[in-house]
Amino acid sequence: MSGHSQPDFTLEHVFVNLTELPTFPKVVHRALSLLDDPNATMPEVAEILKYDPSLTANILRITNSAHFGLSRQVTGLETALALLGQNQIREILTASASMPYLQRSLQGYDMEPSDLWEHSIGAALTAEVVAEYRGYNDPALAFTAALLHDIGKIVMNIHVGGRIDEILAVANQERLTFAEAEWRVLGGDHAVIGYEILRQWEFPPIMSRAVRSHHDPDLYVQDELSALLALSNILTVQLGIGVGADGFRYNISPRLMERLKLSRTDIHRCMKRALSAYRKAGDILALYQAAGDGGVQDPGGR
Amino acid sequence: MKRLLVKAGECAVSTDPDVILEAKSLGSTLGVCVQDLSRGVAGMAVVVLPRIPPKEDGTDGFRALDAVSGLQNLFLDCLAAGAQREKLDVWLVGAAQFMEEPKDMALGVQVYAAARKVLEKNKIKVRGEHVGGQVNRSVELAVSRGGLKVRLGGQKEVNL
Repeated sequence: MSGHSQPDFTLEHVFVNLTELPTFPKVVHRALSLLDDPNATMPEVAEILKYDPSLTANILRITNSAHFGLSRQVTGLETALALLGQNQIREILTASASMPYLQRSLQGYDMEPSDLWEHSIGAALTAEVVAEYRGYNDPALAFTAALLHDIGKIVMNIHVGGRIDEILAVANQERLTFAEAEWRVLGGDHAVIGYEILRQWEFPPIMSRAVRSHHDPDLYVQDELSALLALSNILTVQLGIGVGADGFRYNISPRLMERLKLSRTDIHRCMKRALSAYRKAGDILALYQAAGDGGVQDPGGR
Repeated sequence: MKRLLVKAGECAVSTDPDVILEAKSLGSTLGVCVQDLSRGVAGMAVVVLPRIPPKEDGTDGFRALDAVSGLQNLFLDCLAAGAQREKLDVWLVGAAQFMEEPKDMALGVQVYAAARKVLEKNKIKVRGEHVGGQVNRSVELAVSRGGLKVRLGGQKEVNL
């Protein structure tokens, strides 16, 4: 095993291949920037987005989810933007633009075709719940960070692929976390790759840092968004939502709850609310069937 | 065969011999499986929390959100469907743990202990279990067959 457990610098190839990763839609970044501009209007935001038909379709599908609580079915982009709050628009834009990336099967992580989408949406909803419970000032940022926290897996999947057994063997034999075993075998992990992708996609540094830290107990207690994202991911795994081979093979920092000033009862409350939010968002999860590569009878199975 | 999916926080009971009760990807939640083979009754609950958190209004319609209400609903539904208490077989599956986790975040340990306490209080024996560790499990219980099938991480299968 020792001959296989040395870093083989695959990570170099991973970073080279990052240039081949599709970019995050520029129109969405422009729309998000406009939302920050107090002088901008919703018709201006709609004007930017409406020339991308698949994006518009995704926005309308997600907007009509029960999660966003609109009283009637919306069929036009301008109406949707007029009825939603700023934070909701941000969440919908990011989720809509991310759908093509998050609806992929990840055999390397033993994840079924719908698992990444379910896990990403589950973590995003949980992050929003925890952020609101904690009084965090930007729940939409927490939602977005959680939505994209495993984006590195779609790149790492190519490299983990046939070596999953080797990674698990190293993890078991040496009692390592999955991330430690990934480093040992591949010389990198999906959190680092995710950080690099989000940096290239020009998301705020605070967000890419949180994604970088989400499996590192020493790092994620350093700032609130990182701690919030780490906790949301943990709760989503505990709820069994889109769990891969790496699922429980991590350590939880004994300082995480203290960092977020949460008690055991607080955690249980967040868990209950997250489960309710997840059930309510069943129609967003069902979008996997509408837009994904199919083959799953019950994508909202959890 | 028809599959009846039992989601987190839910419970289901069936007397249809063509039904397989199934809970996918349990994570740290606890699958409680119950069967009276002689009466053709099977039930399953996926319990999420040890108890309902104080000052939290209700269960949001979840019938197995916590160990106390979840087990109560499951057993009452089984008895109402014709099962006999003394002939019920009970299995526990799930309650996965992270490698190192603070006690207050060890949901699998908490929910398992709470369920065991309820069962012991009611003098109900557990026939078998597959719980704990860093394993995500799915479970199947066929109404017409004895025993259940546990899938580990989507790969290996174990029969209990």
